Amino acid sequence: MPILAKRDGYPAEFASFHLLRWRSRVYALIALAVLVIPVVVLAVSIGSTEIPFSTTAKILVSKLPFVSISHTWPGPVETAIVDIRLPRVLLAAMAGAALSVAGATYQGLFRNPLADPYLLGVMQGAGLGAVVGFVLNLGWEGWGLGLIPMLAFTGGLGAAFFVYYLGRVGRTLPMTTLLLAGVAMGAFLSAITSYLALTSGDSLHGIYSWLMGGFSSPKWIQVEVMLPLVALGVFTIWLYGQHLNVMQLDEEQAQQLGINVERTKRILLLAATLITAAAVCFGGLIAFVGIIIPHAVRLVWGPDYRFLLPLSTAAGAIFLILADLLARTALSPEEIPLGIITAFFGAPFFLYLLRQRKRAVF
Amino acid sequence: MSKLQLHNVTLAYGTRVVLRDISFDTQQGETLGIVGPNGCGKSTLIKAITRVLPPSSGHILLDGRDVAKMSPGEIARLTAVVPQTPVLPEAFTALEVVLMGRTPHLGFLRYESQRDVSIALHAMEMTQTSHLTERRIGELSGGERQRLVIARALTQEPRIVLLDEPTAHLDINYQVETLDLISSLCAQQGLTALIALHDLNLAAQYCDRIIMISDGRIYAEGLPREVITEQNVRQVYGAEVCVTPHPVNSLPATLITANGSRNLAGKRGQGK
Repeated sequence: MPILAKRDGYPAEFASFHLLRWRSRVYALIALAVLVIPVVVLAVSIGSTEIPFSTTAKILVSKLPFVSISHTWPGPVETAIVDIRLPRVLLAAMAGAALSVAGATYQGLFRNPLADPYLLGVMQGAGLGAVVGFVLNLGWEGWGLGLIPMLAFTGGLGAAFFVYYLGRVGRTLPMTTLLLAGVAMGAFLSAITSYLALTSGDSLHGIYSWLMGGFSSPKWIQVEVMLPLVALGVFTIWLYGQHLNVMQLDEEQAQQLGINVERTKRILLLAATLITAAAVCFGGLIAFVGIIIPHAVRLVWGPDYRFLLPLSTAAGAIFLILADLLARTALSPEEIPLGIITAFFGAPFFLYLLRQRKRAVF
Repeated sequence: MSKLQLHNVTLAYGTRVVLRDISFDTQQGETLGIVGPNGCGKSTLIKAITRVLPPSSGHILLDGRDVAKMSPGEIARLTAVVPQTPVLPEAFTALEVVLMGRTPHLGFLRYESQRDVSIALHAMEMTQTSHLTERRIGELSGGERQRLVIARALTQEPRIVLLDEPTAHLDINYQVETLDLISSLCAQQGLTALIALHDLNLAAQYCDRIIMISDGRIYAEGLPREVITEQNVRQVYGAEVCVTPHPVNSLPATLITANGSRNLAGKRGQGK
């Protein structure tokens, strides 16, 4: 029996105001999502050899199924674009999206603005896996994906699952014990990683570069493997937007509002860990994206996770594409590690946003 | 039909038993008061009813179904809780927090419809919080937040509402308005309310029945005039009070007396 049945509808303007904000957020989301495409084309055009935007666009369109355009461009240009630059840009886009969504998820689960995707051991585990790969220097190419990424992925996931195992209390996953386990595990793995790196001799430079992040040897097969992982994880997390909103109250209230809190935590942690590991194994340890992008999105469009998550996905993709573009062109032919670019430009941009919108938005 | 039944429920935190062998039923449309000293288990009882804390033994039935076998969503569609001092996220607006009450009723897309927003706004109107709609929680006072949480519970459209000290931070006028509101919803719409109170006067005025808990068990159960007696208060709380019929409606009014040494006119300090 509905207890508030009496009043049929509130004044239309009032209810619409709330819905109007919904509309503006949806438009922003569509705009950002659409923006990804020209940004990709732009990033692919720019490189060590200058290729006109229109040529790039034509080449990319010609690759779509059912489209035939007469080939008016030289073969090597197409190779450069399709085989070298495009996979790299796509990897950067997916990593940016994955890290941003994972960061937003962790901030929501821990109810802490400083949470990032690396809290629960994925980064340190991946780092250790990668360093082991460098040090062992086996010839095996890991099914074409690369030995280092495979070991990094395994290390990342392994560390995360061990942290969940350690942090578990009975059938629940209290966020505080998880955090403690993650910090402890992270410190432990970092120590081992540092030691191995230190004694690695020739590999030290390679290790250091990897640790600072970047996509210097992209391959199409990496894109093909990363795409389903990231898509699955990200879409799953999108479905839990309202759950994350309600969990910003405490867990008891969330349950009393109908959320199955433990199941939600398990699913979100699993998905976020998966996409973080996927991002890190191909891109190295790209810091900062997971914290900054969700906060920037929150500052502009508010804390509602149903919008924060998809907006962060698009914003993260665009941000990392541009950061990667800068990484490979700024000091051409030298490549700056991606992690340095993200920190160097991300931090001031965020400070600018913070000044513009000085309200508490966490 | 919105019936809550507790059969021989024992609640414990680990090995510390808080409530022992508790049994009672609620009647539709009634306001049931739970009173007892701090720490006697009032909040624990509410947690058990909403499956936040599973009972060590006994059963809790909601409309005849065991709560332990119901999902949080099903429970939330029937019962709403007004917690004592709830954590609220600073960045959300008041309306957004109240709208969270619609969560158990939202469809797959999980976005609120116009009707959901209307229900939330109506609830805010009833709790005198309409003017706070677009304000952020971080800016609001304790009393305003408490009324918002009550609005959120009403927005859930529950059949049974569980309130844990709902008037703790409220000014006296809001205390009366809030409890008047709950009372009228019970009377007119068949809502069942279970209210944990430590203010015996509010309990007496607003509850159809009162359960007094002491030492983990039900000490007394019945009408206010049966339960709130000087004898019971002395036994359960260890306080000497004077219970006298309220001049307007004859319900038991509990009066305290300050200790003798300070209030006799002209005599200072000596107490003689």
